[in-house]
Amino acid sequence: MERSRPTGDDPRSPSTDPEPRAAAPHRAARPKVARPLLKLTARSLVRVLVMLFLVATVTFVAIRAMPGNPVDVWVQDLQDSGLTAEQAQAQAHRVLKIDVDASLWSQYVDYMNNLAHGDLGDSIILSPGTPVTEMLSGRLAWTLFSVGIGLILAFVIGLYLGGVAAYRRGGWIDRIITNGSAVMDAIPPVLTGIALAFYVGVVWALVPIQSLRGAYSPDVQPGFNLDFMLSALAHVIAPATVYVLATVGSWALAMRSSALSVLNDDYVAQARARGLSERTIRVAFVQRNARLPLVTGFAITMGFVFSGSILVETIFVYPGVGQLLSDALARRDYTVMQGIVLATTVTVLIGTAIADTLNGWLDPRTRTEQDA
Amino acid sequence: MTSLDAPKVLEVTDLGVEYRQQDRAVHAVSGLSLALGQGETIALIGESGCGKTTAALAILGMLPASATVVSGAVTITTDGRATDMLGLAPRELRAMRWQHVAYVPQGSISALNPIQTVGRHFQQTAQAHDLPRREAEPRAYELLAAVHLEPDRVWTSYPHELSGGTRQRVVIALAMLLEPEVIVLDEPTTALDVITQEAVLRTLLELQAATGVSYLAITHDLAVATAMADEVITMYAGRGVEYGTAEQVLDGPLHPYTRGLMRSMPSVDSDLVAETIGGYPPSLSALPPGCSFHPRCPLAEDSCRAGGAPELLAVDERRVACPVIVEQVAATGGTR
Amino acid sequence: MSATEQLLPVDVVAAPPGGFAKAVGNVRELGLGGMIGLGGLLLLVVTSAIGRFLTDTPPTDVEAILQSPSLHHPLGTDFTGRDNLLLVVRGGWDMLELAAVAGVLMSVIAVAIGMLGAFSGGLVDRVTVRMTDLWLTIPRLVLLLVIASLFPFDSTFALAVLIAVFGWPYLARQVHAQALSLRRREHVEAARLLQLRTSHILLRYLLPAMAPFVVISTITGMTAAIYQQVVLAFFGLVPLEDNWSVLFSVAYGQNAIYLPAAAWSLFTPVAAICFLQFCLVLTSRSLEGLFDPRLRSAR
Repeated sequence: MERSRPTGDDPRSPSTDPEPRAAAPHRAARPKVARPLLKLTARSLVRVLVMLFLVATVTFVAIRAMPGNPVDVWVQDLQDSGLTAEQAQAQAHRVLKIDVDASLWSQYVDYMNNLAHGDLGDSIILSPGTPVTEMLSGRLAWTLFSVGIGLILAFVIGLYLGGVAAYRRGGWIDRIITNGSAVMDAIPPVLTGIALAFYVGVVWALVPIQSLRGAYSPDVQPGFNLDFMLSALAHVIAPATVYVLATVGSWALAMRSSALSVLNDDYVAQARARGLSERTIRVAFVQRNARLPLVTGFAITMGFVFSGSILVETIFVYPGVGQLLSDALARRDYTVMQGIVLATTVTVLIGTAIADTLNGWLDPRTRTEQDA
Repeated sequence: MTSLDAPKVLEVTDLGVEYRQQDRAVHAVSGLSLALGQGETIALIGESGCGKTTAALAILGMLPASATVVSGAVTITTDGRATDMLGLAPRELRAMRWQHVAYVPQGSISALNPIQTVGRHFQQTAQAHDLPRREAEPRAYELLAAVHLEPDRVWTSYPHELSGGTRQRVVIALAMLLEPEVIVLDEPTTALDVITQEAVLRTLLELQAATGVSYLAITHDLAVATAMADEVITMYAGRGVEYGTAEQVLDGPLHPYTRGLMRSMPSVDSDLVAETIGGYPPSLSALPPGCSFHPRCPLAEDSCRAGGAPELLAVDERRVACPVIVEQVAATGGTR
Repeated sequence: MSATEQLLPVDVVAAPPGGFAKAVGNVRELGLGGMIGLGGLLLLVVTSAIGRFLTDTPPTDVEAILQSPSLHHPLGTDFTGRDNLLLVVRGGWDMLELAAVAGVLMSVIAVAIGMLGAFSGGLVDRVTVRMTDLWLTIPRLVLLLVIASLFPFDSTFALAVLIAVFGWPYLARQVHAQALSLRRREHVEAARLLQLRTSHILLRYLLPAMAPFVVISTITGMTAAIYQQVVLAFFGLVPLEDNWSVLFSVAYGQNAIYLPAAAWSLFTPVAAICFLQFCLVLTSRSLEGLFDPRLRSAR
């Protein structure tokens, strides 16, 4: 007679059945999750690397390889302002870390080599000589912070609203949520941001947005203290609200349609036939199944919100990567621009990989798929 | 073998179900009656769309919102107590379900939550009916073994990892978890290959012999009816048109529709080419006047084309809703 | 078939989604939303046409800088004294032109790639899906801004092309999904099994079935194009005459959000843009419901 052994933690106590029967379990078995998940993560990482490679190449082509590209223009400008050809090229070499005069292919190799070592060149105009990576590191953290909060809040709120709308389909709540979401979806986040800044900050003066510029108040010391954390949270309210308003509508609509489709599925009806409570059905059957298709949308939304951060940070004077890009665009600082493109790409791709892994954990069907 | 002494666990009297489709009413079921005894099997046979599934859902109280029961009664008798299924409040209905009447749907993949293991399904069901895990899990393991599956392997599997036949058996085992009096089987063998079909049917019969459960089997596959049924009811356009024991109906069908069904089944040991019944089943929202079958019936007379649907008439120990046939039988003096 | 579909009689379930011609004939079915949307669009087109072709550039008037609405200037004036209403009326044509061109271009690319992948299957499908996904996940807006700032894009058409190149993947994904589901539908399967020529299948089955969906995705593309233009204008990368997005960007640059009176010059173009988006969204949603009656009950 075989006894099944559990894998992983099992807090249940052993059976106290006095009459051992033919196949009575000592403890029922648990499914294995770890191995397939690792494989999934590995595959995601490979995908990230491949995409990164492609994006880096595209960036190189745009900035260096096309006729009329900015580097050539800049070298020409340097020459016009008095430098000799060699001097101009030497300057370019110092800043970009590639030999501007060599063949395109060798420049590409140098470029890729630099990237592999984490060298993004130096800023040309904004802060000449400063390595781009240095300029990015602090700012990236703030952008991640504000974007992250916005994304998670929008996801949670949107899913809740979508679920409510699906369950009360056709009712007035449903109509409000659906139409409201569609309207919010259509309004560009930049306009939401500005409207918010204007009405809440200036006209109604509810929130002192002028004093909420920057990531935290100037009189607060950064570090692991409560003052700092509270201040940081206060300053992130405005940008985060815009991110939430810009995306919550599409989450709600997506969740609503997904939940409606699940509610229509036979296994839900079957669950009712089995006498399960509505609450169990709502959580274990509807919610858990309805949110699955949405997890993949998370990656795309991330890209969208990151892009939106450029505008939002400019409007609310928030010291993130978006604001830096704003400046770089205005002043034509190519290395910084290039660095930002690559940095945001990496971030979004990593976020995508995480979302994929999350999806694998939540949906057992994807774990056993042979091809991605 | 129908024994009139077997206590009836499920009684349906004059059931009528209508769907509201925008502005028209669809008569999915009209005047259906049946009495299922303990340990017995009734097969409801008929083409797709004849209302068999609707009838089953009505019995379980699982009709969609667009359907209403417009007439009739459904009674389930357990431990001597009769419960009117149609009059139950939602909470009471939930308690009755699965505990006293279970449902095995067509297409097992759609019966299971794709992101839960098989084991979780059993645990959940037990929990919902206040059955402690200590009792539920061993019983579940036993049932899985009884349907010829490996309990350990199946317990931790997800539905998509199992073959169709295995899933069907899981669903059957799940249905038996709370030892219901009645199990409604909806096309238990469709979507299975022939060999698995035979195995599943055998399993169902074994379980019945062991536990005394009653089956209401809905099927368009006459082989299933032949294998399992004690009594057979033929349905056409929402009405029961022939009632009798399996032997009577399957070997000596009376109603022209049932006869047509039998003739349309090719037989392994005969050279007869199968004949189809000409025409199509009528739209349930626009039934023809008189007998619904008359447009396709070889015996149709003028009296069939007018008036209401024909009444069920008693012939020997069976009932047929066809006055023409009944006359013929009376004239020839026997059921042949 | 779900259990519910099984229950309903065959003729009720098998109703196919409405075809294009059949749908167009049923204007009443547009619903309130659709009528408002289309009506609004018509209004905008007419007004913008009048503005573009029948009026002159509004004069600057140093005496009338940043005024709130008055009888003389119903929507106030901007920082150079020009009448806001006139500016808004004149600024529409450019936006509409860009939205239309970009939207159509985006749609064309998206449909071509989406359908190519869905109907070729196999390696081609996987490659197109990968390409689309790659293009989708990278932060396109960042790249768009960078490229717009590095290279000159000084005509509406050039801008439209740029926006289309960066905007097609979102649509392509939807087209691909729709085309896939179409391909698996029985009557298309049947046609393929009968070895009907691919062009025949395309013309007689797929195009008519896809047409409504393509229309809707074009409208969605237009919404996206407008959004992209607003962003580009915000960063001063739209070297065009005063269309709404440029007006907005200039007003913002004048710090109009901190001066309630000046806000009129900021919010009139914004309101116009939002109104345009709103109409497009309403139209597309009502068209969706029109073309697939099953969707209507799901709304």
